[in-house]
Amino acid sequence: MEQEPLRYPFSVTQYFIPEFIHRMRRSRDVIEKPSPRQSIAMCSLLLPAYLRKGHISFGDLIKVAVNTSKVENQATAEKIAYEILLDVEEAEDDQPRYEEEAFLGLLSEKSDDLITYLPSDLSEADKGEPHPRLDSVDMFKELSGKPDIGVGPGEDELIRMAIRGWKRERDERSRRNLAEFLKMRLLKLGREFERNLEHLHKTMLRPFEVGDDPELIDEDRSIENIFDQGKSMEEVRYDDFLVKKRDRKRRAIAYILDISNTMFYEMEGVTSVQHSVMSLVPLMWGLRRDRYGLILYESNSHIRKELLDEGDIDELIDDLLMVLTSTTSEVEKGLRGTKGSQTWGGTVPNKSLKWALDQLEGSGDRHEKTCFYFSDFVLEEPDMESPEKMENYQIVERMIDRGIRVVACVSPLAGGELFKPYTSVALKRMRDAGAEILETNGPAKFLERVQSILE
Amino acid sequence: MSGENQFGFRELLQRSIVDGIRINNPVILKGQYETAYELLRDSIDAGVTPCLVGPPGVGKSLLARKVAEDTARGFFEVFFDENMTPSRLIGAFDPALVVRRGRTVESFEPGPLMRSMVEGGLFVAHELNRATEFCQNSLIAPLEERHYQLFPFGMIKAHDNFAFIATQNPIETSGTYRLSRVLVDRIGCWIRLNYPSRETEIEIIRVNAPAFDLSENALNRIYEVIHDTRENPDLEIPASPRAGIYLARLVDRYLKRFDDEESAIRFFAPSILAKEMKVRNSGKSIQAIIDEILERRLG
Repeated sequence: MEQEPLRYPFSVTQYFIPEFIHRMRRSRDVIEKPSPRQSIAMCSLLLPAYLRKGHISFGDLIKVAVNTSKVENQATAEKIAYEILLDVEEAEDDQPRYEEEAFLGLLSEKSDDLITYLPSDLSEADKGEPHPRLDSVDMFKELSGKPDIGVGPGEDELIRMAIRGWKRERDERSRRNLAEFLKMRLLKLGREFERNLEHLHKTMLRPFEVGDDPELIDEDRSIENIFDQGKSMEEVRYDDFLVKKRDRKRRAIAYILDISNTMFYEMEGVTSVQHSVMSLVPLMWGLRRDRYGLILYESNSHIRKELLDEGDIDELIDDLLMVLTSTTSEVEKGLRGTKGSQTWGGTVPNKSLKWALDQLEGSGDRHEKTCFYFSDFVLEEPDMESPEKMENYQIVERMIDRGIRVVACVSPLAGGELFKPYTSVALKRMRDAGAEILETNGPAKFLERVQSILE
Repeated sequence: MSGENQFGFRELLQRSIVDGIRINNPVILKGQYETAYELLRDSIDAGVTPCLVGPPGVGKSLLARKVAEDTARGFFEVFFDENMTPSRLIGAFDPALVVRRGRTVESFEPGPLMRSMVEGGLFVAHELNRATEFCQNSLIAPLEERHYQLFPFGMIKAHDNFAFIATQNPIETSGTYRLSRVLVDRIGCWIRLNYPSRETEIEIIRVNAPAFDLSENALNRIYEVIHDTRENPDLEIPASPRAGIYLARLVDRYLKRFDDEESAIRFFAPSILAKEMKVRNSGKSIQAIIDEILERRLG
């Protein structure tokens, strides 16, 4: 069938292309909805095929539908194209469920998911694509009067509410959307943090090279340079001009995240692991251009990325966001599959600390080295001292001795009545060993403190 | 560099300058490559910007070059990374000449994108998803409106023959930036290239081995070793067809030193494969994986 020539190809395409785009936009599997440019590209690509062969087949229609869609949407595009050509009704699953809309109002007033669709009636005048519903319930309206929800303390409140909303929500699609929302907000914080660190870069001068942006020329210093050399105007060469070059401080960073059982204990609707991940994600994003490694630990250590490995930061952040919404047994299943007989859930950080020390030591002398250690620091039994536990602090001391900055990023739950007897000694020992202590009680506040440390 | 050597180099450089590019070995246009080539040509003819997406070594750049050669267009390419700036891409004024003559056409040193726009060439943007946001923004107007606003000249309109092909790699994502939606929207055709079928890959290896006289048995063995790396769950990045070509060239060239073809493959394979493969965090070393594959395939 695919290669059968169509008798009236352009009457088919006139129906096929708008219907395809319409269905793609309605599909849940397509996150970034196709724009009118895709329709234009589809028409444009059919023409050479028609001119070359003298006809268009169903196969051509499927090919343009697939190839004008982004790679991650190509399987969905193929399915939808076949459905249209075989005159199959749109899958029930792809219809938006309107009872979800009130909750989805959380995400954004412009979210594609809030689109109210007009009935597909071609006889009606073209009313354009449906618009987002603006009267949807916005749960964040209850924040009115609170700090602005830009980047700042208000952002922390917004993110905390999203996490609480996430926990209540069981519907997979809503959870996925909320995850996207959280990611977006956390990365926004990360970008802001990155910009705030910009001024730490030293400005240096170097000769102009072909391809440099002339806007970067330091005019005063260039003229001085030309005068110093005593050159006439005709003798001046492009490399007599000096351009400003920002010298980025090179950093090597090891991130350690505690995922032991106590990290999943909940207080005021938020767990320690959630506090930690909310601070860790924007921090990692803000410092993503530096060398970094990531390790998670409980009784076992799980290396997610070595310092010198190539890695996909997006993937790592997605993994961390999964930790944020999972129970300890879901994390266990995710990290070691269903098999495995080792103990799980205890608090054994020494291997991770050693790993961080080795990684940072191996990163060369030119880097500024930092270890961010996220935990609730439930490391000690009251009135009990064991050599294994003391080893943790000894490794921290060794790091400090070797010029590595250690930042203990402490969950706010560590200060609660329940954990205080276990955490106070551990935190004192960390401080005595030379670590800097920061509380992770809100990503925006946390990043401000990290910035002051890095400065 | 001594004056004499420098002179020698300049002379050799002058002699090395060629008009356009030539692909030495035949390009196999079968299976996915035939479809991809056709789509590339159709996209360019229709004024739609195509992007080839696939793992390293599957022939994305070669296909783009083939299109440039077959359509008799000049070929300009850029490999994006963090150091690529809009000024390098578009071009910049030579400050020394600006001081003498002002911002004139003579004092402007064009970058590859501007040259291809003005001369009507094919511009290939390799590793587009490694382009910084600044560079991505510089591509928007040339892709959609086929012009570029260049101060102080004004609007530069692209030659009718100007064409743009992007390539990107889905696996090797370190240092990649998310493509902005605005740019993604302007890429009208996404052509996916995977590892080729057995028949196609063996043919690719054969035509790229210089003597073309490797036995069927040797070609099959080489293919099987390469293919096994793609089936191995411990490998994050397996061997590409390029690895098969290199292995075939070495086996072909030095076969006389060995008792048989298998011995030659066994000798060269570890050095070739270790270079481009990457292991997952499974605890296995790359050498152990290669040894397992060679043992299974060559006994």
